[in-house]
Amino acid sequence: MNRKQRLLTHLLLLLAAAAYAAPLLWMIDTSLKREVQAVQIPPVIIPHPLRWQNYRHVLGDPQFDFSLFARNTLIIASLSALGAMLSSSLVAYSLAKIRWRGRGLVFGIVLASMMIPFPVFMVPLYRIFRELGWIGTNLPLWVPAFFGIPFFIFLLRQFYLTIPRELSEAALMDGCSHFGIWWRIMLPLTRPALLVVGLFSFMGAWNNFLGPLVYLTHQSSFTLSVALQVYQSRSGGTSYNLLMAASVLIIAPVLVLFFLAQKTFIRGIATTGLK
Amino acid sequence: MRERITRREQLAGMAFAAPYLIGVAAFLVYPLAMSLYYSFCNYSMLQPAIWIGWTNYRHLLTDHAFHTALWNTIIYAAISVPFTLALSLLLALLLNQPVRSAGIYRTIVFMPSLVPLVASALIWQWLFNADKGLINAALRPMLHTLGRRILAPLAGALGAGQATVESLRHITAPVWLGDPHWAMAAIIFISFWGVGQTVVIFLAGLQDVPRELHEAAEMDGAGAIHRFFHITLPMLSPVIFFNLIMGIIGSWQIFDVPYVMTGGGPGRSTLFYSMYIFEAAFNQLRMGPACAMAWIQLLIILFLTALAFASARKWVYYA
Amino acid sequence: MEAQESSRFARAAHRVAIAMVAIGAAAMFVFGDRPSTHILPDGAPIHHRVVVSYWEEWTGFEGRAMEHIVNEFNTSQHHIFINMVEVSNVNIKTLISTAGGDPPDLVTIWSGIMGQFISYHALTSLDTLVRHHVVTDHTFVPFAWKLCAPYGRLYGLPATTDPNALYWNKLLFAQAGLNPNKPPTTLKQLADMAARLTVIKPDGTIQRAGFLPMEPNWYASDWGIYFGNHIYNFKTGYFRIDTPQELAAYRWLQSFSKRLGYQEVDSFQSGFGQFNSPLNPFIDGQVAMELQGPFLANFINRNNPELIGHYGVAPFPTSFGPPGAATFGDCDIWVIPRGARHVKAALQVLKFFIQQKNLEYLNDKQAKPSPLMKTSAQYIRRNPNPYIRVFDRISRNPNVQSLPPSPIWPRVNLQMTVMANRIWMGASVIDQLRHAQFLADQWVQRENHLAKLRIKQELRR
Repeated sequence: MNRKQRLLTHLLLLLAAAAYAAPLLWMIDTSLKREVQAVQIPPVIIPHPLRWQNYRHVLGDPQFDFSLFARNTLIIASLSALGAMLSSSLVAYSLAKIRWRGRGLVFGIVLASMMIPFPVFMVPLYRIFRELGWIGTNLPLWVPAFFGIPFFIFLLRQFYLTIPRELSEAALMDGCSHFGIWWRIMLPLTRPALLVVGLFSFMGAWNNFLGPLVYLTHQSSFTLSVALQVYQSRSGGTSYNLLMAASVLIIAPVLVLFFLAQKTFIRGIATTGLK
Repeated sequence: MRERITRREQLAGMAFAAPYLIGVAAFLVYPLAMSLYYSFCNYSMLQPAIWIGWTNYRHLLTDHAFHTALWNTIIYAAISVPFTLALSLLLALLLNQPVRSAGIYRTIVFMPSLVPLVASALIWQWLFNADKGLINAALRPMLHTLGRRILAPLAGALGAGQATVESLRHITAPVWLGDPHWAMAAIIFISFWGVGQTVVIFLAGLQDVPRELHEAAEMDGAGAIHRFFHITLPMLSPVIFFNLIMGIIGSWQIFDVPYVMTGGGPGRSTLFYSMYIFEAAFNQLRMGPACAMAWIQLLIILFLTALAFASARKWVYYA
Repeated sequence: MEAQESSRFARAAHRVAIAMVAIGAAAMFVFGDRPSTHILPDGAPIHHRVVVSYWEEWTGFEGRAMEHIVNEFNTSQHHIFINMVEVSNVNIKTLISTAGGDPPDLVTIWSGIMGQFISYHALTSLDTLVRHHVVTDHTFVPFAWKLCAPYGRLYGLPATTDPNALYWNKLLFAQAGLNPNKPPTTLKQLADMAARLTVIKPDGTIQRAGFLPMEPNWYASDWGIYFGNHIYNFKTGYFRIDTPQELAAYRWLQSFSKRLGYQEVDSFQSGFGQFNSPLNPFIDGQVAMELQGPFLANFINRNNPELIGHYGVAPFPTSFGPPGAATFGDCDIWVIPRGARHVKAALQVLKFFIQQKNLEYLNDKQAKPSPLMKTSAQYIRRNPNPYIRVFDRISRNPNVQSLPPSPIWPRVNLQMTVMANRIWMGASVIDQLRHAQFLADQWVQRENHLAKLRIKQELRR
């Protein structure tokens, strides 16, 4: 690359970065303004004075009980992650490393079921959960994760296929059971992939909106996404400076998690697209 | 000996797959069947279902709101999917350049895709606010100058009528979420903000393109554009295909952003397919039509994916 | 190279695992065990009481008013404890949870969903209260009673009433050269005054609007009332949308957007602050006249006390008679969903709620007229709404119209809101009305047909 090209590249990169960062920056900016200042025209760029009270106000609002909703979300997200990791790896192992009749069919179902839109299940699942007495509890949001998530099964199967066959066959010869191989060889070897699954299902549960919207009927069991929407749409409405403060509170944990696990994230996503 | 191992394997395989097999029965096959059954019923969940045959489907034929939702979703998918693909590919090419602090740029572009969609919707609702939003605050002076200094004199010089010239002088910023067309545009626009994951997948794909191919082509005197179309693009085609499929499935299920941001309005200009299903099922307890629509949605997605797979033979290149 | 890379990755992954566990542990530590919400106001825990779960639609100080009554109840006896939760979108939440078999024991809902609830058998009948003479059809103001017992059987009890009236800003009237003590008495006059009160900035954008029919946008389907329409036929269950009165109403609505330009108005409106903030458009003087409920007075008191004494409230003009000859009125209603676990206890609670002292306290705090026919002098005196007498008189008027108790009203209402929006944006009024009429007729027919099918099927069993 010559100088001119390099300059142009940098310029384009800066533009793109600005476009992608601006909404988040503006969110933080607005969250630190007084309401009157937030709606001022022309817009005030630097809030004056910095109004940290907005955060205290949001956190003190009984309609937005952050610690309660964060806890609810955390419980659902952690259990989903745990369930997805355990069940998906078991199933993936069976599809990749055990030879049995019908596994081709099961793999076909795994692939096909990724295409089925959630609304098809919405109503009958609601009925099933009602019969089980689960409506109003968080069970519908994490129990299904323990029955294998197609996308993660697919992902882990691809990982397991890259591990040489000889390894598991040798262990079998030594009298090791399949469970032993899975637990003692496969899981440690594919820990990065497993973490990807855990991270993704954690994020998926954290960001899920439609599921909690349908299944959680009691305010005390709401997750953050639903709580944020409720906070916005409550009678009388909520001002933008407070809404932005609430949004910052919800986004912050995700971004922290991302910065702690940046490599896992990027690697994980990168592998999803590869055959 | 061989036979015995196979039986053992068979049992082990099924045992390992058991969670999923049970899951398929409980959370896939049974719900699918029930949903198909309900689509032929009148059912509110509070009273027993009554079989009414094809009535739900027949009513959908004349349901204008359903047509609107279907059309809006088609428009959204038809614009959002190809443009997000092209944009993420461009961004990936840009972010793949070996420049200093490339990692920071990648992080910045990726971050928005982590933001919960409810929060994205609120952020953009605020940015798109017609009167106090940042976007219009930036657009207004630009449009003002554009209208007064450029468009109006130009139209005048071209001999346009007095009224046209005057209206061009007073060109105003769109009211975005208050205007049926611009509201749709805004929602499509937001999908461009969350392309981070697609970009990362493309980046990974780009790094898999063998450097020797590029070097060989460069030796032969092929220009950058030529190399892009004849090496990068074919090598990337499986990744493009993957993202295309994911894009189709995702775009047909769009719910969170319009539900939070516009609630389907103004009028029904941003009512999308999944929102209408949700509205019928959980705001009106009309489970029958909701299930009928959901099944139609399933068939549409299956059809489009099948179409993509059929076309893939022509353009997807597997090394 | 590859090995090094993957071991680095493994280390990173290890860090991630530790980080995730740490975050989880920290969160558990920070959030800890949450104290039970079932505590009496004086901090004493409850023992051996039936817990009635109660969903309340109001938040903020309006919710506090209800909370006060709940606390009174909880300390007044030793058998029942009301666990009150403030719930947004309460109608839909109640519908979903009732369908899911996990409803609360008691809810305050908005009236628009009564018909749908009743037709789905989603409510517990309160006829026992009538049989025991706790309430009669003369206990409450007529329109509130009609909402709770639309077809003879009682399904709810009114908590508060919200009759609508015209608010006008006297300061802005004076500025525009109008007599600040003379509100418009005809719709024509209202439009003329609105035109005089409107201020356009030099760049063509709106600085102040005299009157905007879509501000607030809650009443988009009610305009026909002021033109003499009765949208619902209680005998047949059909709707009257495609009528000359509705036509006049929505032409009138459209005339405002034509005069000001809907894009300009939309842009203007999108800058309005939230209803409960000092930037509410009526409270901060961006709109001079509004059709509003009594509660707005409370928000004026709180958010801009300077306006007190400088605004007026009068019955809204009508096209066919004096102002107030017909008005829209709404109501919050207490209901017991079907499937509630503690119906008996909930009935006890309701009996307490509708005691005169409690209903008057609640409506005083919410600046609304009491739904009871009987009123005490001190309730009018205590009410923070300076115009409570105006609202009280409107509320007792037999001409108040409320939301139709039709099972399909939520759909018709939605369609009419969409229709109003489209008309506002310039669509043909007559086409839109015809379309809405067509849809409403179709829905009623289908509903009737299904009801017949249902009866047939039940007979067969």
